[in-house]
Amino acid sequence: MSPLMVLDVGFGVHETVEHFGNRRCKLHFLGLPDALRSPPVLPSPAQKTGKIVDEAARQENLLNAWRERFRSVLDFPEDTRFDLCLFWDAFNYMDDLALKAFFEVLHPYIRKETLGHGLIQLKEDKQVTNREYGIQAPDLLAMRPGHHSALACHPRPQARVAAMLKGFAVSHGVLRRDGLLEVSLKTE
Amino acid sequence: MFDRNKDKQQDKPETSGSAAPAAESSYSSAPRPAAASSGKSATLGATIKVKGDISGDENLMIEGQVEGTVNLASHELTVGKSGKVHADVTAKVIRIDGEVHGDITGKEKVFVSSTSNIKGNIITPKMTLEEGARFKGTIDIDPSHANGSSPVASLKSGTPTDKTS
Repeated sequence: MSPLMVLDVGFGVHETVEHFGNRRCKLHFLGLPDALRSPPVLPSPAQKTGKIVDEAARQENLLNAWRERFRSVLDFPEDTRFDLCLFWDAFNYMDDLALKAFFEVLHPYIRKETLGHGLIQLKEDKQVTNREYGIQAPDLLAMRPGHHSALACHPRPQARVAAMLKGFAVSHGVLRRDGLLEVSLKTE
Repeated sequence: MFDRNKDKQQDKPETSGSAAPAAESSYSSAPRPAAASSGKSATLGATIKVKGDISGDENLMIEGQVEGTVNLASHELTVGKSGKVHADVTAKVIRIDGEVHGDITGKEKVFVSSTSNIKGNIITPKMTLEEGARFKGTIDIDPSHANGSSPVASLKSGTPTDKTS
C-alpha cells in the first residue's frame, strides 16, 4: 500500500506527527517561514540611471526569483504526488507574486484527488499572525505562538487568494471567530 | 474542515491543558538514554572525536563527535545534548537530544527531543516528536515495518531537511 503523502508547509509539531504516526505515511515539513524571511531583491530602478524602467519586466524578474526560491524548497522526487496539503496560514505571509510562484512550483506535485486546507486573513489583525499549527485530532487544530513574527503579512479577499492557487479551488469556507477564513481546497 | 469551535490556542507549548496528557504520555514513552538502560552500554564522551564507522552489540550514548556511520541494528542509540553526529545512523531505538546531520533509521522507534538539531530524513515505524520540538524535513513512517529495514535511498533525492527547536 502506498503511503499517505502529506505536505505541511510549516514546521513539524508533535501533535501532527502523533496524529499521522499510526499509519503508513510520508510527512514532508517545509518550514516555509524560513524561506520567506528574506524575500528576493532586485536592483531598484534608481540604480539603473538612464534606463527606462519596465515595471512589467521587473515584476516578471521578481516572479522568476520567487520561482527559483520555491524550487529549492519544494525539491521532491519527480514522482511525488501529495494526497493532502496543509497550508495553514502561509498564504498570508506571501505577497501576490510569491503566492503565485509557490503554487506554480507546487503544481506538478498535486494530483486530481489532492485535498488542501488553509487559513486566509481577510483584514489586518496582528492577533491572528505568527502562529504555528498542528493537527490535534481530525476535528481539532493545535495552535501556538510561532517563531516568525518578522514576516510581513498580506491580508486579501478570498477571491484574490483563490485566483492564485494554481490547481486548487476553494470547496468550502468557514469564517472563524478569530476572523480568519478557514478553507478546504480541492484540485480543479 | 477542522471544527473552528474546537481549536485550541496554547500560549505556551509547555503549559497544561487538554494536550498535556498526550504530551506526558509521549514523553514517558521516550527511550531512556542508552547509557542508563540496563545491560551492556557504552558512552562516547564529550571530548571524543571519531571518524569512521561505528557498529556493535550494545547500547551507545554519544556525547562527542562522530563522522562516518553508526549501525547498532539491535540496540539503542542516544545522541546526547553535546553529541554531534554527521553520519547516517541506524539503530533499533534512537533518541536524539543533540545534533545529527544524516539520515536516521530507527528499526523500532525514533524520539526527537526539543533540544535536537537534525538535518536529514527519518525512517521509522514509530516516531515521537517531543512537545516544543520543531522539525523541518521528511519523516517516513511505516508502523507495519517494526524491526524491518526501510530503504533510505528512496528519500535521498527528497527535500533537504533540517530541524530547529
